[in-house]
Amino acid sequence: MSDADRDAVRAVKRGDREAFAGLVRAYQGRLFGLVLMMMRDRAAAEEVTQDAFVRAFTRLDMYDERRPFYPWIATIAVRLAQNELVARGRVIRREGAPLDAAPEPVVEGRGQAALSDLVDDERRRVLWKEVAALSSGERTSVLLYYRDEMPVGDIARALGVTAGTIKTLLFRARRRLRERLAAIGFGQEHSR
Amino acid sequence: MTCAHVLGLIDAGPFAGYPPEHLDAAFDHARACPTCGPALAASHAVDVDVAALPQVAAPPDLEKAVMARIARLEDPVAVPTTDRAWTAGAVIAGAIAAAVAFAIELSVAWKWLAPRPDTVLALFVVSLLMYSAGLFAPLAGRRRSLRED
Repeated sequence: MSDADRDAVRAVKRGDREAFAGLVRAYQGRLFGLVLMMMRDRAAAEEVTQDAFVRAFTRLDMYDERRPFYPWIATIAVRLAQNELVARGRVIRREGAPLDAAPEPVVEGRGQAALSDLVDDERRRVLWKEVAALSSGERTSVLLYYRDEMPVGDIARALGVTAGTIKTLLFRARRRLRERLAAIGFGQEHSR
Repeated sequence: MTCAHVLGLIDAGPFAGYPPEHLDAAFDHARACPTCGPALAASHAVDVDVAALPQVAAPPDLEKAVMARIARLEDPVAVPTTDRAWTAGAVIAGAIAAAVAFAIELSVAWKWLAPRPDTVLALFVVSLLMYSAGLFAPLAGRRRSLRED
């Protein structure tokens, strides 16, 4: 946990709720991006991100200051997003059954389009679309592991599955992404 | 060592459960193999590129919206002042009515007073109205507060 985060958390616990604004500013982009990738619906992602921050604020006394702040609030956000997805009928299967039985169709929503626009390199644009097309469990695991650099154990806690399940999800995701890049010709030059 | 095995190790990435020398041999094979070589390169690209994908910008008013919700959570002013005044007035009126009723009850019991039946009925109705107002005042205030949320 950074010193700034620790100071902000302690200030909030002392009653300075404005100090929480610093934490919101620091993590809103990462958290919103994660939730948006999970939900693929900008309005719903914004609502869940707000809910996650508000819940974190109300439960700040349960937060262990020795650990980084982001994984804690990401866990809250992931669970809220999962609940929302389940409520919408997109059942995320738990351990014992595949977490990602069938890939969900890619929804060309505003959020995704905006993200694609940010990616100017063709290879990365393809990769981004493939990440967006992964199943919910794979997509969330990939983002938390690669982009947010969360340990597998933390991701497992956030998703409510075992570390082994996360490794399996990452394995499948890596294979799919690697095959997709190979399909557009990437890597051929390395073999010559 | 088959290409299928090596491809499995490439996809497992940091989670491949094999000794380092086995992995070294697999990657040596991959670098020299026309099938596994591109897969190894693509796998490295996946690792690097996914980590480097740009962050999406949060909605511009997200912070403001969160802080407003937090303010409403904590701030007793979220209940309108008029509601609070009305609730306090109902409680005071109820307390006065209870005190009056108690005094009349004592007077009648000790024969200090012999009130007419219509007076008793009027007092009863007034007390009942005040009691009801006091009983439902908090609920009315709560309903207004929720509507504003």
